[in-house]
Amino acid sequence: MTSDLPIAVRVYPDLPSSQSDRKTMPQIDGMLVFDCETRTDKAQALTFGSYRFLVEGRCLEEGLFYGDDLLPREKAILEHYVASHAADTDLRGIPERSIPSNPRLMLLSAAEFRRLLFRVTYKGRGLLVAFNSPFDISRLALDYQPSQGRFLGGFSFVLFQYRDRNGMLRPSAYRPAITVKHMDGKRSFKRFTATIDRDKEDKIPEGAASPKPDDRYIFRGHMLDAKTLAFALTDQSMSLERACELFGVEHGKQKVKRHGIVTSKYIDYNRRDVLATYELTEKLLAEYALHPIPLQATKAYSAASIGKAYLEAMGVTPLLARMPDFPKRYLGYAESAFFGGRASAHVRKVPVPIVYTDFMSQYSTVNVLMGLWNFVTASEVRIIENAREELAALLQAVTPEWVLDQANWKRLAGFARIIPDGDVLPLRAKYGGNDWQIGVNYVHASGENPDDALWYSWPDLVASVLLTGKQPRIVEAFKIEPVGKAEGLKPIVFRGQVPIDPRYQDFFKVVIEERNRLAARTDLDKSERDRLKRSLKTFGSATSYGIFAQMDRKESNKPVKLTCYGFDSEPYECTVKHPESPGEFCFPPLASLITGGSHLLLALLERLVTDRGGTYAMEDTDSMAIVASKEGGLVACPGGPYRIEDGREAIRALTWAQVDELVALLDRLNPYDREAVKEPILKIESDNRDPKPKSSVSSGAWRFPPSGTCSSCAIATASRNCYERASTTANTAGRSTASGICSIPAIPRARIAAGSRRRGSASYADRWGSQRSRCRSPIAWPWARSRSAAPRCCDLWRSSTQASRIRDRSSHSTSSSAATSRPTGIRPTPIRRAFTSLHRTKPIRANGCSCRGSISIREGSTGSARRSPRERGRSRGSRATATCWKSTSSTKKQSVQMPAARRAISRPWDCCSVGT
Amino acid sequence: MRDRDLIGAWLRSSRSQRRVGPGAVCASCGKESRPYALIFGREPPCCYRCDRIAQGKPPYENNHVFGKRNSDLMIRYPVNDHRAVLSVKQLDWTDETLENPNGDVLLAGIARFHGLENNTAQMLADCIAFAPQLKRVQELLVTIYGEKWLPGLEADAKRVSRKAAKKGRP
Repeated sequence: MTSDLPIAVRVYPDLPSSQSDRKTMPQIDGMLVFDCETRTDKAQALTFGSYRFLVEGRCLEEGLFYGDDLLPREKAILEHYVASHAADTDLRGIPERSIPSNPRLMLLSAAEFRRLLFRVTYKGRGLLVAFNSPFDISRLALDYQPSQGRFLGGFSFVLFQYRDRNGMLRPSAYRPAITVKHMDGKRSFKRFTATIDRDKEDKIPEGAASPKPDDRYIFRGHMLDAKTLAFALTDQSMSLERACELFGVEHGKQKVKRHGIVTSKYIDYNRRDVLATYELTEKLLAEYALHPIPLQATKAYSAASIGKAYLEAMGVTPLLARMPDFPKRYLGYAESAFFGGRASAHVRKVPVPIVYTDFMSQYSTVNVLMGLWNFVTASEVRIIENAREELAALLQAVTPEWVLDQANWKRLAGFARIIPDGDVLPLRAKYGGNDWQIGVNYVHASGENPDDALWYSWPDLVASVLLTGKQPRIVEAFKIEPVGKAEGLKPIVFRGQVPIDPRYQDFFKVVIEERNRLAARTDLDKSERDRLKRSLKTFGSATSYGIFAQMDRKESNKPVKLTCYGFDSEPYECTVKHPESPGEFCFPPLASLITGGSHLLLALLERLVTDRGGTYAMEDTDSMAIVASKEGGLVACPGGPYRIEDGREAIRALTWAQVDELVALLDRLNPYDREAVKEPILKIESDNRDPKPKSSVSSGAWRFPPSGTCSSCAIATASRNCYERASTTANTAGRSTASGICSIPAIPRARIAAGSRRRGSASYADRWGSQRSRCRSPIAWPWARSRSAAPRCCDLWRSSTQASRIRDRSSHSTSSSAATSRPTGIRPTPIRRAFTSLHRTKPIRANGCSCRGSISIREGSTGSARRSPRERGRSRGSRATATCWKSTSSTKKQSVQMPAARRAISRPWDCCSVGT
Repeated sequence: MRDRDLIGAWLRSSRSQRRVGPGAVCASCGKESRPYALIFGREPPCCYRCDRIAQGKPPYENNHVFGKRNSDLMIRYPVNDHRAVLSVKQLDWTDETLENPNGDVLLAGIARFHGLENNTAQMLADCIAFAPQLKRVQELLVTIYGEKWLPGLEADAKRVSRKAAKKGRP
């Protein structure tokens, strides 16, 4: 019986890094704030809106505008309103500039308002402000067109039209449209389109030394979405109401009972929204101005944008800009060893008592432990080849005690190519569904061929040794080390309050320590301390990982030919429609080391837990729900290795004291100043010690089936509930739900859910696109040293009527950076798919399971199109598909030449565990 | 008279500053900083007055007091004031008043009101600009002759004129 298992590794595309268009905000003295109200039907046509025009903080004009198809009755309400209400303007005007103010409340048609918008924001280069501006801009538009060029995939909203000779309405070429490209619910790119026959004043570049018109210059507008800036400053998506609360806006958002109907109260509501948006913008800009960074507020799309600007302010240039000659093949090796945060549901659909633990600022902690700031600020990163012996010696010494020694972490900055042979390592594959998923699995190679070897970071290998006790077969290894200090590093004062000198201090460490020292600072009031704490947390985290892994998807109409560096020493060429270029600060070695270090932290915790006979219910990137109760002991759980008195299978819960012991043990890895950081690095969530025991019910890994038939739930109704609950939480949370809760009555709400939802780990597509298959595979118990002898989960699947599962090793998943770091602007890399054929060489039946078997990848092929023997004879040239993570469906048809991946991997195959 | 187009006023203020760059001052006289009085695109910045002097022309221009289309009446003004004040103020008039394409008498009449207002305001501004100098002279006289300086000054003036008369005798 033969089965195909495509595996994939990330590659490093040889494209120029994204260039930052960071610049300081030009002086803008005009501001137009507006908000639209619409019908509540599907079309959501504009009914009316209101605006404020402000100069130097003084409101000079306020008015309403109405949609073209407003009913006469509704228009009469607006007319009556403006006749009976005064504008909330500053009567002083700006006398020194001879600009008066208008005491009357204006009423404009939509066309007049579009002209006003054009005059203020294009001709006058004023700031266009709205909350969730793409929606409001779209309501004003007369028409739309698909965008071209850099904004391909977005829309151009036409604001001005003319009739051609045939009487057809066409977009004006003399006045700009607004192009919007949506990134996610919080962010979008916006700009004016180019126009012809521009005035001389419109050709004067902003910030130019001399005010000479430049024919090539196109003014793109200053468009500020208050929602985006609030997100960038807090790393939280929030409504206008919430943002007003958080930033202490005096005139916050009001509520209204009915939307879509034009009434006097509704007009009041809309005017108040505009006032709230304006006041919020002022607060946001004031907060933003505290950051000494060279970045326009309109271009701060996320915390990572601000984090990068901070690095620039400190004189930290991107590593690859500093070292343009850094060998790309090493970048490819490191990129192929890149896997995201580890997350899994371990005990499924069984309520078990837990203690929820969480590593404090895990990525920052790993950075400090591994001394990665020295790389960020180094004048050069040196590659030391032939580190095989050193790695082998290092791995020989690995024990939990060894890992708990901080000094050893600084020795782990390296990568190795190994021939997998039962090592527990992350692997990206299609585990039964149609999506690429990452599972931490037992990986086997069929033979000793070095071509079958895969690259992994040293921390990942240490984690494998820690969990298996087995030494990997190393083919080659290299390590990296920082040399010197870059020139131009300069101290900054973070948010005007925390001095940081990048030459002598570890930025990541200072951020954490200062955050913890804030409580003792008496020079700041509480609100200021809270804001500073939030900033330190937000921007410290944003710079600690995502920017080193960032890949930016490039839109193009035509397929682009590019060179990719992967696990082979030679690059290959492929053609993709939407190539992804490395982000500005992208440096795959650091990204892989950070995630590898994070895997190691969790692996260490797992080892410490299992050494004590316990297990965990779930884990997610930086947290683990350890099965524990006050007194400890056995807890009924189908599939567990123990039996309780009534004969039911069970697992062992640790005692709270044992968990405390683990916390104390792991604090040996606390790299911070103990005076400042008094908390242990493994924190116990405070509500875990309530008298009322908490239970964890984890259903599925992170995914739920698209239909009502739950593939992982034996009870149909439970499955349905499980699914529906999952989608609800996803919508509410605004991001993916990492774990769902089976809403079977009487099962208490799981602590796990909150933790998982907070983190989020997989995109919607990731979650729904998998786990369509039913279990037909073996399962290895996490506490079993010999996992191959474990019973099959499919046995449980078929026989049990309980909604309970225990996941096997392959249920450990690493959520890709594409999902976890999306808020920070990370896009996934193009994936090199190495299609390989799996041969179930010898079906084995054990414990009554028909699906168990050793599965080995024999040789490369192209999915169903097998290679001919002649093709097979070539070492390179098998056809495979290069694709972008987000567009697997659209790029399936693209085939490119790439080296054959003659992988030979066998593993206990578990398609129940897709969803990992 | 119509409402002032405040957005137009702001736009002119904003765009004129953009034309010359922020903080631009005439490099020749070092005084003129009004954006409309500086020549667009000139590097280093130069005002119209200095430019005309450099060309050997008088630093004045004729201003159509009521608009070119409404009257031929012109008053000679310093070129910088003409450019930076009077021409700009005319932009606040309604388009039809300023342009008056059909020679409408009533519109021309409205233009006269506007023109009178603008020119009077400019003349008043010019007079008021002179006040500090007068004040300084007054302070000097008080210093020399005391608070009731006029009799003293007149007596001195007579004395001087008598001396001059004596010197003039053969």
